[in-house]
Amino acid sequence: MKVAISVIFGILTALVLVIGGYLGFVTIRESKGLLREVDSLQTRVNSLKSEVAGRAERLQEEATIAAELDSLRSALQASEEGIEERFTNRGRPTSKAVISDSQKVEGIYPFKLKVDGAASAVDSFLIELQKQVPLVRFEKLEGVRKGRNLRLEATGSVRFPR
Amino acid sequence: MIRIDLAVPRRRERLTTWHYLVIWVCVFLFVVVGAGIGLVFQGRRLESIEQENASLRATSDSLKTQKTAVAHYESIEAQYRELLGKIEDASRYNERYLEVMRLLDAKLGPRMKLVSFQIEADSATAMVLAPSNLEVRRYVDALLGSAMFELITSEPQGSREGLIQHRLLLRVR
Repeated sequence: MKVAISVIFGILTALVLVIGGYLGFVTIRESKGLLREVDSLQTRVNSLKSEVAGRAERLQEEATIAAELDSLRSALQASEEGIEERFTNRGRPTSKAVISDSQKVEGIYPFKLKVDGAASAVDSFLIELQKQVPLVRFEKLEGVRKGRNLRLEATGSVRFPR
Repeated sequence: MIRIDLAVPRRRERLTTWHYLVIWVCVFLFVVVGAGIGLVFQGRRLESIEQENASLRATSDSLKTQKTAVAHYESIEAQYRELLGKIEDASRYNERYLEVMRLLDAKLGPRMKLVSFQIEADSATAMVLAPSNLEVRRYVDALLGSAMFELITSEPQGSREGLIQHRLLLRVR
């Protein structure tokens, strides 16, 4: 009887030890894997924190800068759509422009502009043109003075971004 | 004769089956409880590591989102700066032309006339009428004093309206 009890409980205890040992081993192995993952995540988080640090505050400006960019783009688009009108002035000084849209796809408009009027008015017209078409670039200005008047011929191009 | 046996009867100390069973049950329970406690502790440790892992994963995801937002912001800012830069660059470029045009007019001496001019990116040609060569010299000196020009040539080209006509070729700085 005693032998039977010893055998039965011996086997049961051994089973408990084997199962417990196996579960413990599995759990430890899983813990080690998770700890490695935690380490790599910690490294990644630290690197991301250093990348984002100092820039996160600037994100608040994003809406403002995006709005400014939109407004600038709209202004340029409007300037491109009404380019002919912006180059011509029916008042004083008078201006006539020949604008080629041969490179319209690339957003480049070569122009030849003739302005005739008082020298100061021509100057003001060119300043205003610069405001109206901010991407205008002169290549050559040729002027002939007639008393106080100036007859100016300007060549250049307007380059809109694409 | 009376014989008295003073010896105390001793029980033989032998483990009974019941004792045996109780000892084995105790050993079994001890092992079961020990293994159970060990596994519970191990399980809790695993759980805590899993929680830490999940929390780090959430932080990492949030930082990744922030990084994407920062990259988006930087791209918008770069586009804005580029566009603004182009506009400012064009404005500065044109302002040079206008400044040259104004200076050619503003620096004229008394009785001098600007007949015509031609301004390009790095040079300017002016045709002027002056009462004397000295006036032309003063005009040229005044232009050079603006630090915007370098004189390349100054050629008299006959006379017109009783004044000497000069052709000035200037390099624009």
